[in-house]
Amino acid sequence: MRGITSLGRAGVLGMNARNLDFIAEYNKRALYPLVDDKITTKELAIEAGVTVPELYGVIEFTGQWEQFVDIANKRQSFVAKPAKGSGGGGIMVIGGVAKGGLRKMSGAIIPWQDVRFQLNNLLSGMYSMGGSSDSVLIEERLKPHSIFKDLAFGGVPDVRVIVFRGVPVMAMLRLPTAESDGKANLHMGGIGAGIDLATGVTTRGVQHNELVEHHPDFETEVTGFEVPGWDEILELSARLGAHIGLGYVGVDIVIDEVKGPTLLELNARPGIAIQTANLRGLVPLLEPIHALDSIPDDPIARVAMAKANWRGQPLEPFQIGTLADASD
Amino acid sequence: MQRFQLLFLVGGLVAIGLGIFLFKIVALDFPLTPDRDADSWTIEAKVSFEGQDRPVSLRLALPSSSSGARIVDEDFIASGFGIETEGDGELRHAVFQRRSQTGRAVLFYRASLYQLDLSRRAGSNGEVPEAISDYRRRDRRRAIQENATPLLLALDSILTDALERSADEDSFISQLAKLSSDTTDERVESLIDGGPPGLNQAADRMVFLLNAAGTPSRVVSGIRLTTETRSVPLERWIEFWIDGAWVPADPITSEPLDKSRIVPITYGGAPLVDGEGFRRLAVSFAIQRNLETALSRAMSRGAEAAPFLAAVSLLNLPIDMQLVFRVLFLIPIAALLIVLLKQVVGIPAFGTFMPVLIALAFRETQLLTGMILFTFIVGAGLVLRIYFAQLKLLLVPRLAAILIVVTFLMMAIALFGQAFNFQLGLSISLFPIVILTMTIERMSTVWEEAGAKDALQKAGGSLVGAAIGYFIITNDFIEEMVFVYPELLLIVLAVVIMLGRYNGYKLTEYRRFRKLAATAG
Repeated sequence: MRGITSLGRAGVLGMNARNLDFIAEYNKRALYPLVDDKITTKELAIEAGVTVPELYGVIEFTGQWEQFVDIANKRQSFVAKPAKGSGGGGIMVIGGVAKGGLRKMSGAIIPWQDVRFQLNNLLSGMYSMGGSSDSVLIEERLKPHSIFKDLAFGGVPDVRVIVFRGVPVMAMLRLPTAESDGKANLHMGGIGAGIDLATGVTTRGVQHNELVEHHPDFETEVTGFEVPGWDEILELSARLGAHIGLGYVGVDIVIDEVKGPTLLELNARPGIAIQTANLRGLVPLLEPIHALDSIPDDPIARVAMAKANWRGQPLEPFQIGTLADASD
Repeated sequence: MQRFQLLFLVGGLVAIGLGIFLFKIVALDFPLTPDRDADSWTIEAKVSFEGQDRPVSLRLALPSSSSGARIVDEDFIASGFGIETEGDGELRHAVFQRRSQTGRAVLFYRASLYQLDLSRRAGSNGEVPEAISDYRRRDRRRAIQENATPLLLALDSILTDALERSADEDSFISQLAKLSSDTTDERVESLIDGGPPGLNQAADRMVFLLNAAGTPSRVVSGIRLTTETRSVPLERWIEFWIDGAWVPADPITSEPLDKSRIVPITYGGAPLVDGEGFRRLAVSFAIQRNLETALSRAMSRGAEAAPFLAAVSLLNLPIDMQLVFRVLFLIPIAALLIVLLKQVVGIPAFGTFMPVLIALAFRETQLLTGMILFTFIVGAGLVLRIYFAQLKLLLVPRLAAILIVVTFLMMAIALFGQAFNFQLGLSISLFPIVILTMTIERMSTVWEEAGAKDALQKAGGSLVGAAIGYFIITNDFIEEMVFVYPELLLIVLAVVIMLGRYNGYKLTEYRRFRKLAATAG
């Protein structure tokens, strides 16, 4: 099958194969709540020594409105999001407290009444997986690295890394556009830029499944861009992917002006569009790792392995035994 | 291990399904294309009642062989009851008796009928009936002269009118029917007011007039053999004696009815059920076209050769249950379709089984009407949903509000249909409003979160899925096949399980990743 069809020859990972051969095979169902609940994810990330946005507070009931207002007044700038939300739905990004309400990043003011209504919506689980009632996370608003000034329109760009058995296999940079309304979401019109995993330099940009050379809002080139702190990003992903226990996971990272690479969230069912952004199929990258008996414990070793894998080099030298021999 | 288990399971299912199927075809000679025999029907009467802790005696009027249809086989299912049949010819009854009955009881009567060729009109068999009165001639005149009541005057006037406008017996009857059916006519009104009770019914009035005119006639209750259904209404029509034979006719138009399409049960307004010792009586009739005689022959052969197979055949169930299973067995086929569309084709749609549910609704409305209704209601619902979102309502109340509005939309469509004479009939009430509501809600969230393109794509995908599903579940051949050979559903199950392990590409992924495919050359 793999060799017969055009997609098979290109090594494309299809939705069915992703679900059966990777998610069902490597991701234990019982671990899903760890990534589906952003509060748990944050705790695990801290445990693993990964930088996360600071947690300002958690709102669990509508009765905690006063507490919410207190946090807003104290912090001024923050993000409120449903703990079990998905796809970025229901997130409120607040730049400051104004007279009569909260100021959005665009400068528009949301009246207190509407803020309260939105908070109730989030608590009732309107944007949450499964639709059950939820709690709301209030956390630090990350400020994108100034290098993205002319690459991200009205929102925060992030890096999505697919991590398989703790080894990063593919990555892309997601850039918000005016069309995507400041969201780094590909199917809403954001740009996905493939990243050379070995060097951290973007190779091509894709918007709406079509190749793009320039960011439509700035006319800046999206290819040949060097993602800052690339090795740190890879190490963060490798460390976290293994710590959380999920074999096949999407790690979303924001590069903060002050804190550097910071974990945004994890995804137990990462999409397959990343292949279009990289113009490369996932299967040839996943299969060598799938074939390995063991994976090194050291995240640094796994990053080295990831780079070799990207270049198509054999992975055997990186396995535990050989690695130990080499260090002797 | 898991893989081996799967192959074993799938292989077993296919082997059993195919085995039974082939055994039926090869050894028992079941017909592969079970055509229906248009001339043969089964009628089933279901009588349910509640006992009152005392002796029950229930007399049920039975259909009788008429000149158009002959009863060839009949039986009863009434455990615990003594059964006797009385009378013959046109007047037949079954008497069910029991010493004491507590609680609910259900009795079944089932009969097979063959429609007869009516190339010749049935001759006079039996005595010539007499009209109850003969007002047409001198008696009427004398009565009017002696006692000019409004009833008699009205009767006289109607009959005279009809007589003047007609040339022969046939045209007299049709003129009379025309006059009788016009209830705004003052004379008809005085007939209803002054005549015997029941004349507000078209059939009774026509019979009264015909008898008054000297044409023997009577009211008949029975059922019409039109389409298969679980619940046929008991209908009333008239019969009049002309040229030495009873002619069944429509009470309003006096058009003769096709004798092979009617099954008379009671005459002259006699009750369908009488007796004592019961209450909360309910009687319903179901009719079904019989399967081809080849199949019933095979069935009886199967009963000897393989009693187990015959015992588990659905053809042994009561007819109303059989009709339920005819629909129920289509659902696995539709589920298979969904699996194919989702896993192999990759068509976008709302929900998992929503297209099947929509297709089931289309079964009642017909495809085109269904599509139009669906598009209209979902479209209108979306507009309202946007409005409700502006009001900032919470999720559950908002859903409830949309549900209520959808109910009103249905009402509006029904009234609109009535006004413009669209025959929507019952179909609209069977359109699942909850499914529509969920569709509206899902579509609007997708619209908000992923944009109009995604939402419309998914709505279109759902409709395409529903349309394909519609053609599958309305296909007579498929319906017949799974009903006669339910073992084929085991093979469907095997295919579905196999597809559960399908890790190949979806067809739509060829388009999605066409750029990548191009790199492979």
